[in-house]
Amino acid sequence: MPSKFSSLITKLVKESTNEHGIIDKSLVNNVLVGLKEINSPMHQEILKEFLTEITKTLRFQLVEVEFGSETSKSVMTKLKDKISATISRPLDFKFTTNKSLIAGYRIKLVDDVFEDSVQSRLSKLSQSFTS
Amino acid sequence: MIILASLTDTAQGIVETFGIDWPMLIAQAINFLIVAFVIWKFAFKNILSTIKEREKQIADSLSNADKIKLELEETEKQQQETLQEASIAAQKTISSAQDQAKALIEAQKEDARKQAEEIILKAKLAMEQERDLILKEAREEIASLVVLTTSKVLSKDLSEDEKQHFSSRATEELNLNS
Repeated sequence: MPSKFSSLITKLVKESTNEHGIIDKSLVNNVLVGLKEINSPMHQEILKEFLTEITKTLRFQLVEVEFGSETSKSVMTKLKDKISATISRPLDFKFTTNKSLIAGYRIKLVDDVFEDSVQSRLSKLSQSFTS
Repeated sequence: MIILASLTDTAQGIVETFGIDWPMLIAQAINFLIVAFVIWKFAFKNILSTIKEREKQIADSLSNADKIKLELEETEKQQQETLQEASIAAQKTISSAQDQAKALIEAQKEDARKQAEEIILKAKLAMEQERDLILKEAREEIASLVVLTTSKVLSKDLSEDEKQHFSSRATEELNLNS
């Protein structure tokens, strides 16, 4: 159910995104400072809804990618391109290294996890033994 | 006439031989008749009546005895029949009870056999489940050890280039729609 501030919140979220459509921390801070200066009687409610929307947007924008080892920029770029081509919204990629994967990747996208690593293949092998 | 005279002579002879005194004889005859009449009238008649009554009683008694004998025989016959029927009924009851007892024993044996079979089946099933569980746990344990060992070996033995090559290949094969 849309709230009475929904259009304002949408505008504020838009103000918090950069040219790539990604939520920018500094821009969010600017919006928060602006809200504080206005000192509206509805300040608390607007702030709460704004932060909820920002959290939700961040959750849908964030793509956590783990590699089993140090990976070249080209591989990262290729992976970014493949994901961006499939997902039509702006995405914020966060790359990290997870040695437990040994090699390969694990992608966390909202509630989905896509993994192709040596560890996952060994786990599948283990499951095939037990099933 | 001669014959009549002869008979008279004979009678005269007899009277003289036995010393019969005719008036005395007649008086005694009259006395006898009077006594006989009195006896017949007052004693003999009652005696006859009593005898007849006794005879009738005896006849009745005999008749009753016969009746009783017949009734007794009938009763004995009925008793025999009743006893026979009772005996047959008792035999039937005993036979039925024996049959029921046999059937009950058979049913109990069958139940016991079924229960034993069920227990054996359950025990076998439990053993199979236990064996499967042990095998499953062993498989899981072995698989876990294999994976752990392989992970350690691969972590050490794979070079950085090989790892990067694997990641690159995996990235190329990435398909989010699958």
